[in-house]
Amino acid sequence: MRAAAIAALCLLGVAGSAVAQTAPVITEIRIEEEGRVVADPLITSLLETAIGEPLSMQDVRETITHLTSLNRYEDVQVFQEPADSGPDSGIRLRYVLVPLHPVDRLEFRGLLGLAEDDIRDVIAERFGPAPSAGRVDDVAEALRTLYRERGYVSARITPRIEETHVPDRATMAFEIDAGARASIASVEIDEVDSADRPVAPGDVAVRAGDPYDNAAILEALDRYAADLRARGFYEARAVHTTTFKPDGTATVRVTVDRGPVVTVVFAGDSLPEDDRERLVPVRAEGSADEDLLEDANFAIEDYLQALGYRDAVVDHARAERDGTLVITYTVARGARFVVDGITVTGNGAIAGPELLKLAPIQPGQPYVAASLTTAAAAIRQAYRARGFTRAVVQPVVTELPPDGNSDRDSDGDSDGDADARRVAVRFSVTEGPQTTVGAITFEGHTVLTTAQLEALTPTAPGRPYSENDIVGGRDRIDIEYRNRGYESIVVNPVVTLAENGTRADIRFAISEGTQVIVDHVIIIGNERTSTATIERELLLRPGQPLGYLARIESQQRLAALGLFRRVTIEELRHGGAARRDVLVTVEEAPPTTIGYGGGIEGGTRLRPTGEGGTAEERFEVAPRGFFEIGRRNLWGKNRAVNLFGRVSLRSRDIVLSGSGVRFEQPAEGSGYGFNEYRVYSTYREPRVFNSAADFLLTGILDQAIRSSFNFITREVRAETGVRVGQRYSVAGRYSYEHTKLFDERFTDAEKPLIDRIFPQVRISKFSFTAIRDTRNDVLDPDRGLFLIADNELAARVIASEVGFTRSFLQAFAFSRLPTGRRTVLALGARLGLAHGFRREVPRLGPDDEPIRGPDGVPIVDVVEDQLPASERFFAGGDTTVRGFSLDRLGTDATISPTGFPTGGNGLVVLNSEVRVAVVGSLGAVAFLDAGNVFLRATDLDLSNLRAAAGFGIRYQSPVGPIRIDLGFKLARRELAPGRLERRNVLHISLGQAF
Amino acid sequence: MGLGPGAVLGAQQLIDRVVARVDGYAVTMSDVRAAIGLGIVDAAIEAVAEDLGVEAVIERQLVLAEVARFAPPEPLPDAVEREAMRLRSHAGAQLAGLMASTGLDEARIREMARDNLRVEAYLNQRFGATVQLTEEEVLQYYRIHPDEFTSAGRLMPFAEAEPEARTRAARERRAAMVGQWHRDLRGRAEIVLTTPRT
Repeated sequence: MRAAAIAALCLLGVAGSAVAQTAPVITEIRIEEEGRVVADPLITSLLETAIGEPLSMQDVRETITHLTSLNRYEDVQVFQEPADSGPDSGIRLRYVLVPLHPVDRLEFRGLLGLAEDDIRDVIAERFGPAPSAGRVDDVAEALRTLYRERGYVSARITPRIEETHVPDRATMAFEIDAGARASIASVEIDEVDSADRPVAPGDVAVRAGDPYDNAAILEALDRYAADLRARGFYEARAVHTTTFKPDGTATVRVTVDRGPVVTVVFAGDSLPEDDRERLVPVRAEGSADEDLLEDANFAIEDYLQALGYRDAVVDHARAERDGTLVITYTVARGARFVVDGITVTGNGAIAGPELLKLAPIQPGQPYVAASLTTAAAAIRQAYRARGFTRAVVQPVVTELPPDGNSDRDSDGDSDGDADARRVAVRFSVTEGPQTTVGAITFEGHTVLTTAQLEALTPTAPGRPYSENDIVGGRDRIDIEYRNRGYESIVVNPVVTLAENGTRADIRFAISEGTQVIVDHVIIIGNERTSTATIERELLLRPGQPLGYLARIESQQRLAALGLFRRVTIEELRHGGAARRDVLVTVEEAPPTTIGYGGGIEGGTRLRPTGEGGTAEERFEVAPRGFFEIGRRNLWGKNRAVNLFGRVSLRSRDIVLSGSGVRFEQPAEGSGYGFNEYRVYSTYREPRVFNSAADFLLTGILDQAIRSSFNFITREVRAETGVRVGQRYSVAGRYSYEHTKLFDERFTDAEKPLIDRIFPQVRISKFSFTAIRDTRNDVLDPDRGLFLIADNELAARVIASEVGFTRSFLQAFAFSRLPTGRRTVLALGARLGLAHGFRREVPRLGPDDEPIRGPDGVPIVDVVEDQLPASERFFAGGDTTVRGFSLDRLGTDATISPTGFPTGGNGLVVLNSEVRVAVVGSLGAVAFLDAGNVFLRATDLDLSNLRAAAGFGIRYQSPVGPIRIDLGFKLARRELAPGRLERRNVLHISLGQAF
Repeated sequence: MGLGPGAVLGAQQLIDRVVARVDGYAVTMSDVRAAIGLGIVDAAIEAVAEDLGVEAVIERQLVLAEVARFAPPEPLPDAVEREAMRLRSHAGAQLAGLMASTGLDEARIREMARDNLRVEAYLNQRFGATVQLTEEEVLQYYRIHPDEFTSAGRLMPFAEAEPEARTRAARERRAAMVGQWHRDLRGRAEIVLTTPRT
């Protein structure tokens, strides 16, 4: 192989000399792979050499780099040949691509001796499931070791790589002749210490006559040693050596060092039994090593000091006699100390309570010296962050005289609290002079302007000097340069103190280095996904800087497509440092996903019971299941289609006797019918028509049985949405929905409630939504605005049974108040306006015929379409006006005399809330809400709002804020003579109110 | 070996190819020639220079990959320019021909110079510029290499030879450590020497 390389290099010497002369012009370029001409655009796009250009070895070299970056080729050979049209007409450049043949199979042939699965496992463990061809010798060596350890000392293993073509793959094959397996001829046992009793031949479970197996011997010896350790020989060891003989046998020599029986005893003050093994892990570690014993001393002392035993001293002693090692730990706990009070002195710039919050100690807790050190460091750091670079914080501990009052001792220790001594902790602060920032200068920068650099620096002249600010500024400048491709940027802040340390001049010395530019972007691994789809997500483009953030974001965007199992983006150096190829390797995920499941549901159902068929609740169980199938990345464009189906069955309506005996048989043979089914299908197309908008088409078919009615719903939605910048998003939607109820068994009074959820009219409507969102947190913001404008239009001309227009405008503002605790003022305003379209309706007679006027023309009435209940506005509840129950807010025209809400075409809701962090995850709020629902939009009257005030608590749970609010109506309405509304309403829910 | 100026090539010639792959990175014939021509790899034995050159460039690639993982301080521009000048002077009058035949350009030479300095800084950072030895270790070196301290048939006394013995012993120890590190790098890497085949 080396000879080949030399020969090739000699040839290069010839060619090099030729190129060094007048460079010939390239008149033809040919690319070949295994005798075939290659015209793949991906390959040709990577050629740096071009027809008509003089031959440049730099271009040739870079072309080789690009091509090998594809990970498809083992070798790229470049030949220079005379052009066909004559010796003076230039040259032909021929690229010969030698494909890689990745190993995709392992084969073992011959007399293996061992189970093939065992061999594969060993290789997979060390080299992975498909070792590269270059490691074939290493794999063979590993197999030889394996065979030797299993007793096949004369095994012959011959490795070979066998290539196959179309596709280019290779098999790593091993010809194996295991030979004879050695057997154990004799087992010799050496005992380093045999004072107790000699090791019997059967004890170690290694027997003469057995086939030699090193792993089995090791396992047997481990078991034996573990058995000894379980009997107190904590330092027991059993090892072996093997001698193979020419006659095919092996002599195994086992050396057993049991060591003494180790006993750990404790003297002096007691330690809890449960903690002893943990603190002195002689048994767990299987060792009585002196280092381990000393570590145990420290562990016990630390343990006791954490309980307040400030002066705890632990010592240990070894005593060995008659084969037994006794380790005695003597514990002297000393007095227990409890913190009585904590104060800070000498502080002026920072208030004492603020400093004490930094200390992880509280009165009543055990006194732990390490905690004081930590607290002092935290206080000092607080000072340094405010420019007091020379601040000194010294903890001073004073033991207090006993006063017989141990009420503050609260650790529950049964033996010490009454006798605990009290200490007063004082942090003595010497603030020293405050250092402020003097001048901030930058040097060595040519790419960023001074103004840009200043904007990246989180401090400014006149502000307190803080090392954190300097480090933060350095990091921000560094990352800004890296985002512009300056990967070797070095930013070195130099601080010079002046005027007795009260002024710090900061100089950022910048060494920009070379800007790295993307040369080629090479995408590999995409077989179904189009290259354009991947390129669209990449923020790295040829000719642009190779930015740090762009690379990370590109990777995240590709991963977010959901098309790939794995995405890697690598930089490939070639030529000078200034240009890099970017290699994007993707591993595609399966395009089809299938899911299914099943189960049983149980619940009470109303059943006609007895001869009269009286409704009665009965507990019934019924099977249910779902199936979903999805196909993604359709046509390589990341389009996806999904179909979800769910069905549940129920026993058919039958009439049972009071004792459960069936009166009637079901109409059909089966005892089950559909309880409900739902079919839900979606089609998603990102960046529809090459725009930035995503498109989603949804179809829903839903039928279910309820206790007092059955329904079937058909709905189709087509929606598209796009984000405009970081803050804005707009969406448009068309929907067609129709619900039909049947088998109705409800009263007229219940009808509006059902209409609210299942409108029994056909609604065909367009809607448009615009959002501006500058909140800093979606779940719990403390800054920013959230504005939503939502408009809908339904009309008969687009097949709607009712025509209306509906607008709903919402605005929310959040602001953090300048207080010590996190306090947020949240304000909200919502305005809803809807209007039913007028239309002409012919007046009908009792016979359903139009009634005609004296002129013979049918009489026509003009009526206004009523919005279905599902489209009307309602208010009241935990997210609107919290002194009212859900939907129970309205004017007399939108609330029935019995308090039943009917909804309206006009809505106003105003909210104000102050949110205060109390402690840890707990917060409190106080709120004032107002609003009302009006029959018509023209009835809106801001002087006719109903108000509620209240308070609540918030708990930041792992699943989001848990909210409890208690709202009080400020003025109650009389529903009926002498019957007032309820004064207050309690709400418990998740998330903030708005 | 060379052709005359303006000579027309009458048959196909291999002008470049991949001679090895180091963890997927291609090492080409032109890389090896450039490294030898600039003295970046020490291929002193003429007969097998290019063979050694392939091995040396592979080793350099492994080291550069490590340097990229744990980057030392960026060398100063002046130092890079001085190193680049040293490389150019090594090629001497052959520089122009070397650049044309291997595709080198000035930017690439400076990059190689920068890499040299970074490698040196990395090795100093990792193994120290000098190795501290005990008196016994220096004495042992002196005993094992008497010929190095023999002048005019006279073996220098240890007291006299000690400074030089310490320097040489330290150099030998450092070279051994670096050598072992190189072997470790090789053991962890996937290196494939490609056989020419068409």
